Amino acid sequence: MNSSCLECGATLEISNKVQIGEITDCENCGVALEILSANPLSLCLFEEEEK
Amino acid sequence: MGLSKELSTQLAPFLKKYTVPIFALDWEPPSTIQGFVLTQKQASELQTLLPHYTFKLHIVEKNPPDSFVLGNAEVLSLYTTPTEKKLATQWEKTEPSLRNIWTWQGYTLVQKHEKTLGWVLDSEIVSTPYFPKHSSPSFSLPAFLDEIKRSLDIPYLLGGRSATAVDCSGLIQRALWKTSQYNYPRHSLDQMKKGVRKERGTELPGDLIFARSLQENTTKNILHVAVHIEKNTVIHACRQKGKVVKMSYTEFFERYAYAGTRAISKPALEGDAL
Repeated sequence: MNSSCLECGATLEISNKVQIGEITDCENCGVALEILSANPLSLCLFEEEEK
Repeated sequence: MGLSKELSTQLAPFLKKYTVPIFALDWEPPSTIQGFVLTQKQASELQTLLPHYTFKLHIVEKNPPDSFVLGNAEVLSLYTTPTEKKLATQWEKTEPSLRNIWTWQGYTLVQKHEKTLGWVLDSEIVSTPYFPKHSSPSFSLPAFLDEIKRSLDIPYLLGGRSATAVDCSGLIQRALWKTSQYNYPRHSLDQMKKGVRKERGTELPGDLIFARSLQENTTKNILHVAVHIEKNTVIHACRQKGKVVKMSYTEFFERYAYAGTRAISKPALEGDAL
């Protein structure tokens, strides 16, 4: 399924078998995105905190 | 001070190219950015990305581009800043020489062969005429797995990446370099981005499992990485256990929330080597 990057708007191709909590990234801008829900697909930015 | 969201977006290609954040930016709105930019080439790249900002550079490429150093000891610790003892990574004597970027008040900024940067004490390094030779990495999965298994019981240390201590991503990076001369990224999120996505449940030995901590009082936004060994078993550098351990998936997912599975991508002909 397709979605749009929250940062740059590029098209994202997301697997239909994606899991909630899974992290993916935009190949265009490199930002990390978290899957909030799979159906319907909902994303948020994943901003890793400093260890 | 951290980068604004807008600035982070603009800098994303630069940071992605150089794998890890390599400079500390002191944000002074509206028009100047101060920071330690490492080379003239990188300064030019930044200027291209941020045409509306004026760069106030402290020093640019002070040391000759072919200046290399070695650590005096078996293991050299690299820190994120000269004065703050936060470990960025480690260098081992078995690794190629470090590029000498910049010296400042008794400290030297060095760059490892896989591009990770950090500060070291001048007293802990020595100049060397040797510079890393280009090599072609060849990824050996069996060798990687054997190295991971040999790493059991190595103590955990945030920033660690040596025979004496590792963190979760350091374990992976070190094993890949040691067995295949394959320069994998230093940080877990970068390792995740470099890997090839797989569906949960299709893990094969050597695949990387990414997850976030569920421990109380810890943020969920720190990405952890483990190595799938066999059915229901991972090996990872566990902060809570204080060392590299073998763990069942049952126990692992009591401690961490699943965030993804990645196969280790095959090295490219260039870019993944020295």
